[in-house]
Amino acid sequence: MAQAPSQSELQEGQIIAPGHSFGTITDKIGSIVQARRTPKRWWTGFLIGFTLMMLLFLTIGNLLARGIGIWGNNAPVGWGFDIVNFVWWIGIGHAGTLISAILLLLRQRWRTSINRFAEAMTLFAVACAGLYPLFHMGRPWFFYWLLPYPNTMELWPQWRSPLIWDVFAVTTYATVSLLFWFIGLIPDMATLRDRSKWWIGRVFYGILAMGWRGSAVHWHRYETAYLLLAGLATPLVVSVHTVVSFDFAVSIVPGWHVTIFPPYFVAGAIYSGFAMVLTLAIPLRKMYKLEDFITDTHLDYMARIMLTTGLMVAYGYGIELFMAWYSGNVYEKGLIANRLIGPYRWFFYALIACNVVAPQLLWFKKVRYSPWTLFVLSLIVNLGMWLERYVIIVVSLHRDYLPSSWGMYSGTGWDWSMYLGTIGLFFACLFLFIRFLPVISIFEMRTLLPEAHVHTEKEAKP
Amino acid sequence: MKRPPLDPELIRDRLAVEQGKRYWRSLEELADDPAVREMVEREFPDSASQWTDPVSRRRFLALMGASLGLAGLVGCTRPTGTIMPYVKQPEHLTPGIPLHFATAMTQGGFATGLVVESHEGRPTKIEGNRNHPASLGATTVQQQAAILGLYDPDRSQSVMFRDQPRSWMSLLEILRQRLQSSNKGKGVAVLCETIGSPTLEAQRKAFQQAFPELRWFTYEPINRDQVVAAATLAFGKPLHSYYRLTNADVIVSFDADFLAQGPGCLAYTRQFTARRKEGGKGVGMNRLYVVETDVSVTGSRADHRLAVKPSEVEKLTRALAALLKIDGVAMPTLDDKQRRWIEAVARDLTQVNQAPRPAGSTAVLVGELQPAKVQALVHAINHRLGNFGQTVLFTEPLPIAQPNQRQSLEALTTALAKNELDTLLILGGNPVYNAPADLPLGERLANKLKESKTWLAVRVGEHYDETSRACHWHVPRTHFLEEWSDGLAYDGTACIVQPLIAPLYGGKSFHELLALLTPIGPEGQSYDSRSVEEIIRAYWEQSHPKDAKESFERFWQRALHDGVVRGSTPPTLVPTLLDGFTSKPEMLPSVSPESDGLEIVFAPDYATYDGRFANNGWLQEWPKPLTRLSWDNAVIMGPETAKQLGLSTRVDQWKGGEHGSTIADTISLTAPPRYSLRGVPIWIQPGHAEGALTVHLGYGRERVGRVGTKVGFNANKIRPTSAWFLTGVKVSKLNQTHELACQQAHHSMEGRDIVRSGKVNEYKPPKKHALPTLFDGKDHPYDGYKWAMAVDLSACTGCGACVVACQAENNIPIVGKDQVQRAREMHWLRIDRYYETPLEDNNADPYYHFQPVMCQHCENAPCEVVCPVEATVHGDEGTNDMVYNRCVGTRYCANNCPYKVRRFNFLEYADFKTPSLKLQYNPEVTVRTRGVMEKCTFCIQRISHARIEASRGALEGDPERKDPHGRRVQGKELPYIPDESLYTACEAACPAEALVFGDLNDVARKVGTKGHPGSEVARLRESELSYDLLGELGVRPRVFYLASLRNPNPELEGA
Repeated sequence: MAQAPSQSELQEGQIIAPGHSFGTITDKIGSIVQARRTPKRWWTGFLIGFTLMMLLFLTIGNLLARGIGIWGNNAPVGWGFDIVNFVWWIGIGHAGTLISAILLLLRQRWRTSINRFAEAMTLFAVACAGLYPLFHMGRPWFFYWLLPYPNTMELWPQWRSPLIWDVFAVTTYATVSLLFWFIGLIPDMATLRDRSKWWIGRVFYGILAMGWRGSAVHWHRYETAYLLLAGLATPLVVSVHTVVSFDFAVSIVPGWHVTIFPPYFVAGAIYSGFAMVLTLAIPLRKMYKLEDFITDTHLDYMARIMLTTGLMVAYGYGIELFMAWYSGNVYEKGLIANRLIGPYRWFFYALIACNVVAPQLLWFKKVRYSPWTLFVLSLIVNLGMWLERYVIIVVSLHRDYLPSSWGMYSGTGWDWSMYLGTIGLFFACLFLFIRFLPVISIFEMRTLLPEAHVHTEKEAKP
Repeated sequence: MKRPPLDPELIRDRLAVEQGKRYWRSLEELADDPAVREMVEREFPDSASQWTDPVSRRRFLALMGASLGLAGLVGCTRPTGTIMPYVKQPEHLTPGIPLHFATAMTQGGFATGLVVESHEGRPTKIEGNRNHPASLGATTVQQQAAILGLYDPDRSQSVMFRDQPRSWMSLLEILRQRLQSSNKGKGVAVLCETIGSPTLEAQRKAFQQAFPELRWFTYEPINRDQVVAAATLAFGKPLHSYYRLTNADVIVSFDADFLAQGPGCLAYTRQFTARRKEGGKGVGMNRLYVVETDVSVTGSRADHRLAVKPSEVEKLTRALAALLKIDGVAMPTLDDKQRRWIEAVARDLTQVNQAPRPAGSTAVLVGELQPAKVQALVHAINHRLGNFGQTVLFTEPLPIAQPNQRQSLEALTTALAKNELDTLLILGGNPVYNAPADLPLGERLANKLKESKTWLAVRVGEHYDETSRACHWHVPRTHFLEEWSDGLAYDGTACIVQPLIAPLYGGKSFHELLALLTPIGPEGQSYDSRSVEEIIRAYWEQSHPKDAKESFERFWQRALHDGVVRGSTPPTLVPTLLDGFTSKPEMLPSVSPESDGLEIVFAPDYATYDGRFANNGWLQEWPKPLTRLSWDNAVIMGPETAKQLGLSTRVDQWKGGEHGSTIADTISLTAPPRYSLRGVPIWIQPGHAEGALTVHLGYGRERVGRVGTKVGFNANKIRPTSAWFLTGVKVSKLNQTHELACQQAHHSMEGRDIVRSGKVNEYKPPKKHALPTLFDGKDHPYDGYKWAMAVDLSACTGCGACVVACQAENNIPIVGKDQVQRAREMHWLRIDRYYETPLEDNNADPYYHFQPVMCQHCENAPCEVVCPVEATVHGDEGTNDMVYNRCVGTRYCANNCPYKVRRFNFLEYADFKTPSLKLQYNPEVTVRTRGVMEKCTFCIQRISHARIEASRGALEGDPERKDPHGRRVQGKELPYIPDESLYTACEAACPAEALVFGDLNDVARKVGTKGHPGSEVARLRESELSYDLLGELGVRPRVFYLASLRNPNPELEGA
């Protein structure tokens, strides 16, 4: 893991405040978990999340009892909030793997202080996302028919359907993310085990540490496994959202049948993923006074990635409009006209405002170094990305080929309660994570200290 | 504890639908039912305690006994008496093989022959009778939906006195006593709906002979008073008339919606559309002119349509008469447009290519609700054009008295006011609901009920409704599928109504009632004890010539089997007009109304007719052809009128939007002298005459059942007795709005190539070219059957019978108004309606296009590739099959369907609970649960049935089943399935034969020395008019359309 810090990086800005030692890092991060008192703010946040999570269970109960009809989905618009939110959550889940795997391979050492909770965020977002394809089905109790398993009906899934690809892409992604996250946690689990003053803590963290003793062999194996998983996870960053975009691109619905979708969806996913990391990191570092570790430089870097991916997404919007005109296809033109002047036009304009106009502020260094402006911007981008999925899914479906079938769609109260419920689930899990697991990788933070690089020369070439 | 009464129907229902494993379990449940326990207890009082003993030999024996006894109950559902199976007559009923019986449905006094499919004694589907002149194999929407009316759980189920169930015998005793104690029936009156049955008419005569002082009134809101009056005016007697449009080159309709309403509409549609398809197929296309107020189905098919206020129909008829130089008719004042129009019509009626048009090659039709003088004028016009005996046919008056119903109801109201009556028997109808506003019938009846001690009112009706509430007694009436009767078609041909099932709810038919009330014998002390079947049979036996070659028995069997009484069609005659009748005072032009206020015209509703079908869910949910409204009626007006009144409708963005929900302004209508309707919604109909409003009857029922109660508003509340339209109506806008369920509020095709249309002789189909493909794989050869459907848009009238036929055949649920508003209706087949503004003139009447759209069974189906579980797959005969029990409901297929024909069960729409509705289900089609996608299957169950029949025929060596193409599938010879042996439900119902289903591989070819004609669909596929809807997508649909052709008069074109 220990790499030579590149000169250029250090000049960018500081990624750890000066004056820290191995001990202070461990104390600071470990104390969040091992504090005897749970802060009031934590309780507030957790209870809000928990309450909303209960709303989710209520919605799911009602959904199972009565059917999809409690949502707003209808005849032209077969997918509404369900798939909008699925894609939104999956997109958010993208930043984690990107930060942990790709930035690791690219030796971006600043990732160290954000990778742990970004990965946790990924897991929770994928869990929220996963609920939607499951419960949007008319008969969710038969979800396992989408899995290839030997059965007396001698039936397999239909491999040409992008939904099957989805099942594999999302489950693979969830599995690899979980493994990656857990392996990254092992050394820290051992640290917490050793620091625990209470036997329950020692047992809990002891089990999770899986017998980690910090021997050279352990470290060697650990480094190899982590690097291999990073290699495995890297294509997933691209593949998951590519496959999600196939749900649309493979169909023949105008507005869905677009070849640019895979890269455009991946860029959008990273965009929204980093927005969500910022949304979480800024209050988090404030709440637990982690400005030493999550420095303004981190925020700056993330803002730059947002700006870059935001521009890619904007390019995608432009190309969609251009190709619709250039194709001369009456349905594509009709679709774009409907986007621009149809009944949902304000969704489109709001999306442009959120995703294209607002992020242009990130060109300014001042904005990038102003945490609260960034926080607001990240919320705007999250909203914008939700709108983007709404525009792609609902606005394409509601007016397709035959005007006789054109209709309108709007989410019902149960659509909103499901959405709020998944947000609740996300935050409830996140708060539990903050309380019980180290939000920042302790041992990796230690490697950022100068004293960790005494033997750099040798260790750099294992 | 009060025990519920034992309901054998319920038990029977339970047994009828439970099968297999569940049978035993439910039998146990059944045996534990308190009602059954009571029944057994009564039989074996000693062993009653055994039922509490969990397991015993006695209990086992009791269960066995119960199962035997209940098996007997199932048997009771069979109709009693002999009925003849139609077409297929197995030696005995084979379970699983449906039988078909001919019967007939009477509406407004005229019968249409039907063939009803019966599964083990329960009728499930109504088809038209190909032998019957009024059906020709087709049905109307209402006839299709009648099967649901039979199983309507809201039908009244027992004889009631006020709110208490009573026995039928006790009522009968009371009625007989009343009649016997009265002085020859004085003070007793009967109010009956229009009689259509000759036997009933004979029974009525006998009844009145027995009680000469008894008064018989007749009333139905939609009646033929004016038709009879017109014939009397023109010919001196009420000759019966009808049309034959086959040879009519030019047809002019004055407010006659002959393609969708009235007893002959199915036959007229067949005759009319035969001359519309493929440019008239050699004999030339006919031309239709329509003068009307609202846009009717007929008007939408017109080559030239003139929208006029209701009061102006007479003017235009007069103008045509004047132009045709009919004595005593002066030219009325017309505006320029009307004058030019009617002059062109007159020229077209009399000239063709500058030469005189041959006599008898035109037809002028007039609405049956138009005033008698207008109808009489049309007789004169047809006479002048030489159409008598050619396109307009006459017979002697039918053997059923046709009293003036308006006067009849007036007389009854007066008699009630003068206290001349003490007993009233109301047979059918629903006069309290649908009497005109100025006849306070309901009020009078209610007063009588409250005040008079001697008053007795008895109602026989299908539902305990508004009229029943105003009477003491209510008797459930049989549905027509439960009774023996007979009827006359629009041309006078007789047919026998056979029952398909014994009365579900113990209903009584009018025949039965009259027989039981008419004393016979010398002293008049005994009553007719014959069954209704015997009564009907006796009627026909007495008119059967004794010296006929055919024995009566054979004649009777044949009549039942065919559904038509052979040789009963009355001979036509060519009548002579009364001299100078056109100058009689009754024929004087009406005074044109003052221009103050609007005019309003009343019309029977396409779905609920006069309200009798209000509790029929299929009809309520069925979108009306032009407005596409369901679950409501509205005040219909033209766009200009709405603008002037400041009224509008807008799409409800929060529900299904243009595909489901429209918010309409509401108004309050004030009609002279003092009638008003408050809070009624409006609807804007392009093409509706300006300055006029149209309202449909049949809604606003106060009491009928869970479906129809309080749906829409009751237009009878402002309808006068005197006429079918009103002038001087005032409208004021209210602040409330009303949500209407409109299934298609988007009118435009958005310039897309959806409905292709053009003028006959000028239509140039776009060049067909093969779509380029990158696919180099091998296509499935489809070398066996290759099912396909042609939809002729020139022929489709938009009548919508196919939609309900599909619903009946395929167990399609109704979803209710709220779900329709959320764009979740389940119809597998829908009829899209578009408006197109003519290129020549922006202000002209729009063209109205109808396009039936069902699953297109794409060879390259986009739905199939996206289904994750292979729930929708391709059959090797080219059908796109839906496997309901494999479907997990991702809805991806529906999203990817460019035709949007897939329907999803968002909630549990199918009714698995109501016992009577379960009986209606077609056992060959799965009833879908919630969470499952469904769509048109091309009636796969019928295809399978035909395939099995063909295979059986081939095995038996039937030469007809030998495939003329010598096809082999998997080494086996393919049995031949000709067009006649396979009809989809929609195709069978279509009166225009616009839908043609068949084998695309069955092409015309020479076989040996004879030619093989091949299937109709294969022939149409080669027509240059044929095209694929959205064919450019490369999905290769198996449904194709034939472009819609018009035949406009060049003189009126570009005006």
